[in-house]
Amino acid sequence: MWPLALCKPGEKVVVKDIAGGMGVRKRLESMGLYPGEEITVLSAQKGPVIVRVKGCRVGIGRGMAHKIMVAANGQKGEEAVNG
Amino acid sequence: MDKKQVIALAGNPNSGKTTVFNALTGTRQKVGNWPGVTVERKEGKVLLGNREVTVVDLPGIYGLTASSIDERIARDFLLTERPFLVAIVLDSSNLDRHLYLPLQLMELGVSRLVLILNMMDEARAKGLEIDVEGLSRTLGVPVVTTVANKRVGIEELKKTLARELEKEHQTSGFPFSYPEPIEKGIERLSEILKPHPPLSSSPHNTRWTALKLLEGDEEYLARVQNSPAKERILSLLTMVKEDLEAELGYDLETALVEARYGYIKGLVSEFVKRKGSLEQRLSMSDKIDKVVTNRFLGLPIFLFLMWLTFKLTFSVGGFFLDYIDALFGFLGEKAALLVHLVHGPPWLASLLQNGIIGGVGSVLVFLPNIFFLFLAISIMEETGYMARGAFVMDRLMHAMGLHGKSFIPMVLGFGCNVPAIMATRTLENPKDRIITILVNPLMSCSARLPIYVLFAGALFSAHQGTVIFSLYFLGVVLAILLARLFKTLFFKGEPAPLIMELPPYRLPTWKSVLLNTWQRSLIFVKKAGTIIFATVVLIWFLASMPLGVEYASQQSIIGGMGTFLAPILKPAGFGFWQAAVALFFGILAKEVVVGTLGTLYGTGEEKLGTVIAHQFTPLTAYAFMVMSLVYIPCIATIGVIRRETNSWKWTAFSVGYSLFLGWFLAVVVYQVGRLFL
Repeated sequence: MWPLALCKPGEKVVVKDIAGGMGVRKRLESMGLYPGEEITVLSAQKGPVIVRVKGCRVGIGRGMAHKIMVAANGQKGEEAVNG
Repeated sequence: MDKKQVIALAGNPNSGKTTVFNALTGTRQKVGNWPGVTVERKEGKVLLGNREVTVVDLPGIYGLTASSIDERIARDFLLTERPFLVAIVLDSSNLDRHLYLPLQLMELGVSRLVLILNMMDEARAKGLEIDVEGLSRTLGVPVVTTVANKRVGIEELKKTLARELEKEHQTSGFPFSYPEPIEKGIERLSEILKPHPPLSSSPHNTRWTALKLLEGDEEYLARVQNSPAKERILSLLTMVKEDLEAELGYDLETALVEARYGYIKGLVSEFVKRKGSLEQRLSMSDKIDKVVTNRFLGLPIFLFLMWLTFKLTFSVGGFFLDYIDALFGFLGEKAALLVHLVHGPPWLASLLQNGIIGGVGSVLVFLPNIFFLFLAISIMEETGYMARGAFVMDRLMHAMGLHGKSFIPMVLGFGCNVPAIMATRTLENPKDRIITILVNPLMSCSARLPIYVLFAGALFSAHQGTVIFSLYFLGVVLAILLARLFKTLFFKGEPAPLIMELPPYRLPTWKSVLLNTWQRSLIFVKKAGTIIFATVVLIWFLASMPLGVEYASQQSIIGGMGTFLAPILKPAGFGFWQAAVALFFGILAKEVVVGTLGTLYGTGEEKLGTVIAHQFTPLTAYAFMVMSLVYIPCIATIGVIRRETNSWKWTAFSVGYSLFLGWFLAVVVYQVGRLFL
């Protein structure tokens, strides 16, 4: 397990755990991001991270991206986006 | 009110909800605020059969956990006002996520639902085939397909809504249930909640409360704290939760979410067929995002677009400004002439010409600037770029203790602080919002430019540009420093984490861009009009009293006030009563500072520079400009600060700190400058 902030663009990962307050967890949940869901990292530069979750692009601030723990899903995505 | 007259429209942001709303109600809309908060509330009328129905446009929301103002408003509206029918707009190409909201509404006990599968064209383009019938049968609610921006399916939608309004009873039950052990747990908890009305006003409500308690929702836990049966409920809650987690093997919160999304996944795999390859390719939006959110290109692109916005606001808006100004001058003269012709009292002519038309007019001349600023903003919003701007600025804004979303209101402040402060509504954290509002008036709005131009032109003709730029720069630096200071003093802690959806890029439709711009501009006119109207009458009165005195002369009450206030300004180097009065009148609107000096010195604005060059030195002129930049937000801004913070305390603080800071900085400039010059 490692934080989402350390992912590379194009990586497909599974969300394992979300630290942070109830409000933030619920907010992410209603956008489709919850433990067990597979997401694709579209862009991960020095700033915020962009992921694709349930077909939508969601931008997550760097601080928050450190609190979302993810794990490998086995295969690599084909849609590598070079940041 | 007849319940059958209200339909609520709900949906995720970017589902095309506003387009559906516009297509349904046309221009018969009313924009206001939700009670107690300052989120825009839109209502419109639609004729369904022979019944006129009100459609309430709920804020765009993802769920109902009430983590932001928007979600709380939507939930409270659904629970307390109980609209007869709720129509939910969904993005057909993304049902995986968009079905979550209807599911939440069903859980809340909203039984009369109509699902609107919008953007069917995009779904088809993606190769998706949706079994609308099947979805409708399984969920037990009518499902309508639309392409709202092309008005496809709107008539069918109206028919469906009309039909649903005539139905007396809900036809089917709630289609979704949790795994059995969880359902049992909900039941156990519901039993104990039943005899306690605030927690269980209806059977569905009881189930919802039980569910929220199991999820650990802080708001509902707080409600239990007020219940007489608090201890029994809480101990049972702990027991049920522990039993369930032991049985499931992991935490309940996750289990509940998984069950909900699992159900949606089931629906989608059953009713949505994907033609062609399953592989998701890089969409056009992804490609554009690669460029505009790029770590090197993102910032320059953002700044360029901001520059374009300014250009549009000032050049095109400014083009109309002179004409409108002339129009008000003309109107004022004619009004005075008319009063003279009918042998009305001279005071009436003065009230109309100098007071009302002059005062209100001086604010309304900025309507074109406001209009074009909002036009640019609407375009950026409708295309989907605005979210990227906030995203790109996130890191820089962290230096101020705020996050990316605060940057947009700051930039808008260069145009006018009133709409800029209104734009803080997008911030979900109330603390971030208040800080952004408090420092916003430090952004040099377009009304301050005439002052800078006049004074810099009169006394710094060789370095006019540099001097004006230095004032804009000073404003930005002060805003950064004060945001940090207020953050440490009043609002400790991290800013809310940045989480925002980046909607797909879309070509905006002119109709909705213009409608949006028009509605926002109208609010500005209305609000500015009411506040300013009252103030100008008062100021005019003070300038005309006591009876028989020359209008706005030193012998008038306002002249007396000027003489009284002048000593306070003496340490800043401009302690003459005209300057004091100009700054006083300037509260009305900053550009009035220039107009007032014009009146008091009895010259046209062309020759005003010469007089000023006589009375001011470069040093005192600079101190005066610094004072004008900071000393107080104008009346319209004060009004909007009051409205948006919903607090007299913060309004008073904003006025207080800026008055002191403006005076203090002017004094520092003069006193320190004197040592060197």
